[in-house]
Amino acid sequence: MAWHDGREDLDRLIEHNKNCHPDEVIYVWKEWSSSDGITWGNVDDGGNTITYNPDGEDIVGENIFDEIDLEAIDAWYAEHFEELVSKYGGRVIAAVDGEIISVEDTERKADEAARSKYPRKVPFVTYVPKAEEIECLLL
Amino acid sequence: MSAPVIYNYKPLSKIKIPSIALGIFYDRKWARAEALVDTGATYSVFSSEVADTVGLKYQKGKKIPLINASGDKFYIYLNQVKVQIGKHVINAMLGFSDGLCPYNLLGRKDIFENFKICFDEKNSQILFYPFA
Repeated sequence: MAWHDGREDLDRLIEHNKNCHPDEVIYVWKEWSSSDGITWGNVDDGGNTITYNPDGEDIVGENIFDEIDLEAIDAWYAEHFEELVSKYGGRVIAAVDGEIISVEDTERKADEAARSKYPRKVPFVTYVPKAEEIECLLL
Repeated sequence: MSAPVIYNYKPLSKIKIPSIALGIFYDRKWARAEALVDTGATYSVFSSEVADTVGLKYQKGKKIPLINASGDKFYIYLNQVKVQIGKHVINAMLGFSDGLCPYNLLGRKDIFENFKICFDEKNSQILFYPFA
């Protein structure tokens, strides 16, 4: 895939946004076209990451401002931890809004399964340790 | 100092695990994961699967050797990402590795420099006080 123009600008912008302080993220709406007909954008004013094809619908990615209540996720995990270890110890779970969506052998599989069911959500994915692993880990 | 982010220990029988839910952002994608807060670790070490989830080619990062508690040498790859703790998003250098530990570990580098962290054993909580 070759880039018609502007790819270097996009790379620099993405690099800047990845490394800068969150308050210094630059939000732009500009197009960069590749030879396969896909036009790429970066982040719009609303914080949405966007990749789109000029002949089709925009693909809106995750919002970098999307606020997930991590403390609520954590509280749910703490409350159900013993039960989860008993049921799923040694496996990986993916949960959305306190509901277990998938149980897999790897984080990637669990994440993909949950996102396929809830494409607009970011699942909480974690390996659930076995009881004996916890004892070893904390000795 | 701002209000703390409060996380609960994960209880299992008489054992309490100081782990927290956090977010990792790279390029255009978030991942939510769990990590054990490890005051003895200089670097954070996450499963390579977490890197895969956000599309990070982690092996392009800086490769450094570490030795675990058993004396085994292994390698991690340091990469710059954004980390969300509570509602606070910081830039952090995280290490990614493809094995050895079932738990993601949250070490001191970049994390403890952005938060004053209190282990409240009596109330089974970890409190993250943001410096900024």
